[in-house]
Amino acid sequence: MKKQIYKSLLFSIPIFLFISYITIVDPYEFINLVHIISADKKLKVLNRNDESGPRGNLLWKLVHYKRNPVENVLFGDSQCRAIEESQLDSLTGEDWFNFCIPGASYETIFDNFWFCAEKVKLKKVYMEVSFMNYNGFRSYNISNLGTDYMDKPYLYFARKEILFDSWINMRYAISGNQYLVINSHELAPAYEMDILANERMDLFFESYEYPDSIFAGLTEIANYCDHNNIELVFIIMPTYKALGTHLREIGLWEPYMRFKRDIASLGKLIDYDSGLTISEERQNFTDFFHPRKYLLDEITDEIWGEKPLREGVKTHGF
Amino acid sequence: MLFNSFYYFLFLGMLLVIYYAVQYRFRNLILLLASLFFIGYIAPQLIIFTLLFSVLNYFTGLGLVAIKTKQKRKRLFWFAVYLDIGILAFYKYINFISENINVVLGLFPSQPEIPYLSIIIPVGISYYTFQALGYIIRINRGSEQPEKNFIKFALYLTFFPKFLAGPVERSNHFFPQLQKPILFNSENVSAGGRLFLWGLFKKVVIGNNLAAPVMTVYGDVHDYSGFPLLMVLFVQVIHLYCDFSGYTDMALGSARLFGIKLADNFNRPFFAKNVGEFWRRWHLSLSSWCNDFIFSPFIVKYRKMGQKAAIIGIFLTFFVIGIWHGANWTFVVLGILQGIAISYEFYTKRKRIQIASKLPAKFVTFTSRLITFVFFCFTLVFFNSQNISDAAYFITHLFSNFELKMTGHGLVYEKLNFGIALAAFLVLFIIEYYQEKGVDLVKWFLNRSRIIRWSGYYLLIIMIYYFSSSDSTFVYLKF
Repeated sequence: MKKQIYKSLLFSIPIFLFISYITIVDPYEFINLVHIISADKKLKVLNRNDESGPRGNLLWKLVHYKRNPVENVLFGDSQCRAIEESQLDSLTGEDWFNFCIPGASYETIFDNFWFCAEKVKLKKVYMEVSFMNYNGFRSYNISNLGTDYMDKPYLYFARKEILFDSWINMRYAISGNQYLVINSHELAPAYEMDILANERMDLFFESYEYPDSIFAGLTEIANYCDHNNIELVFIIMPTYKALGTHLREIGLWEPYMRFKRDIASLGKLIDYDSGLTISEERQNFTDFFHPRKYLLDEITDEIWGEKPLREGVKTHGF
Repeated sequence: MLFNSFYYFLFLGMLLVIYYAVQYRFRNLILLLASLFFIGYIAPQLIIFTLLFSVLNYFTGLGLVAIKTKQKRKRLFWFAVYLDIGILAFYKYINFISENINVVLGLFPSQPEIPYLSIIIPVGISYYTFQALGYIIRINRGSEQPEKNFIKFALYLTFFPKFLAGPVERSNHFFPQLQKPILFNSENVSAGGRLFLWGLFKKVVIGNNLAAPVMTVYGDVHDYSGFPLLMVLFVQVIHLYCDFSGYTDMALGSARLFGIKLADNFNRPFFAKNVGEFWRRWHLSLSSWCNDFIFSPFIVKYRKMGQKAAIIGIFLTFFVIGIWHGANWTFVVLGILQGIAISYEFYTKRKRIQIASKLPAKFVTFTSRLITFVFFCFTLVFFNSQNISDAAYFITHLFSNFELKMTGHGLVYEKLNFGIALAAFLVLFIIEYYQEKGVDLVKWFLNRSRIIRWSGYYLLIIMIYYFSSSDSTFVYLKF
């Protein structure tokens, strides 16, 4: 039997090496034993494309929030993903956590909210909401892309995505090659981004149905915050004017207005998508829905800092 | 706890260490406790059910030998048979029977309906009921002595590698293996590990990656016509074969790790030259059970009827095989179609041999295999369809709106994985082709140097890791 055990151990060497490799690179700091690659680099790697972004952000944020829960959280999707926690911290003098996940649906945002609410008594909740997913036909949930690993930790070693991420992390750490981590959208010419933006508009608004369940989910959160003295503020981010034109053309302007009324009925709202001059300029946005980083930084300063909100921003409930 | 899950690997690894660490006289007990843990992990209440079922059949076996009066013995035998079948029928077929009675009652105005019973079918019941029946029948025939040790008997019915989806093990094959002490044997562990890995490869790399188009089409067959249906017609057979034979290899491999050899279910079925032979190669633990305990006794009993007895026996056997799969008319049709084909082969055997003798042997072999394969593909439509009308739609729309293109039907989401699955099946087919010709490629591989063998194993492991898809359940678990 000793010979058999020796042979088994010998046979398992590549498996042990593989496990060691994942443990050392640890692209999501899930194991958190070795930190030979900085968190900044890992974050760049996980945001490298549309596939890695949603699952990468989800897993990273679930792991890090679970480890260090904070009272003040910003929830949302890709529109606010690039807001820096350090900027929020310095503007407010409090610890903030950005839980915005690219590709997150309302269902995913709700799951993230309840995940945080379970971990800590929340104090301030800022929730970025968008009309793009406020649609009965846009019902999906990507939470499992992160929660699967929390429920079954062995998946961290069993899923090939983690191996790919580890591989790119290692290559990036060694070579520093920016092309490994630059999102293809950052390199795309303007006309390609316009094509992509139009495709996404078609995808978002191909069919529309009033989302009763999403409104119910938001109401539940609003009531929870109300009962637990949690400051809840909704934010609607600016979009390029082509979106508004499109909504008018396809007869969804009124549902869009109803969306805003729904959100306003739940509590405080800061609405940047209210015909501001920033929405006139195409260069302020990467596509039609995502403000560029400089604009996002300005908006962050206005919402969380001393700087007053720019002219035309509508607020409700303050 | 599915065979292709992390927890099963953990369970298997820990059990292996415990099993060989304890004295051999406790090993059967360890296996029984492990099997009960395995069953309890699926549903704790199932432990009590299976233990009661084991107790019932254990004492029946003992009683059949202890009772000397023929009349009483006969009564006990039929009581046990009816009870075993009754339990199976209650859980598996009661709603199907009620549903059909309600259809008939519906023809008459104001007849009350039989209510639908909300019952959960105990996992694996079809398999261990048949194993228990086989055991009792053999004892009643006098061809086997009852097992006196309850641990061994309960292990026969609950042994975890075969509990969920077979094979339908024979008592006269299982018990003799437990009679002598099972000692550690490196060959058993290596062979078991290899078989398990091979089964996992078939299941995960081939079966799972071909599941998507099959599930999608049968999920709503009316959305498709033409090429997608034709593609699924053939892909479904590969999917089912790799799913079920993969499962069987994992079951056999798991058992072999503990020094127990279970009956195999497959013997290169795609090389069968007729439907009769096909069923001696496909799910053969079930088909041989039905042959021994239904067909053979039937034709012996009614031998005076001559050929008619054989034909009725064939239909009866395949009706049982069909309905064994589930409470649905589609399975009845599946069984009847096999019955028709085998009866046809039975009646035309001489004529077909005459024709074949005038043709080149290779052509006859190839054509026979092709026809058998295509026939099975068509009958499998009834296996996978939700109801008869879906199956009829599938077959009648195979060539409607026919547009020959591989992609764009919304059936194959991961094209690379799908392609790899088909390529892997081709390799599997080539291996089986040479095995059929008497060339044992496995033996050849095992005689290579360690570096080649281990590279081969790692190639399988890497493919399993890289090409595994999210679909993880096994088709035959539902039976």
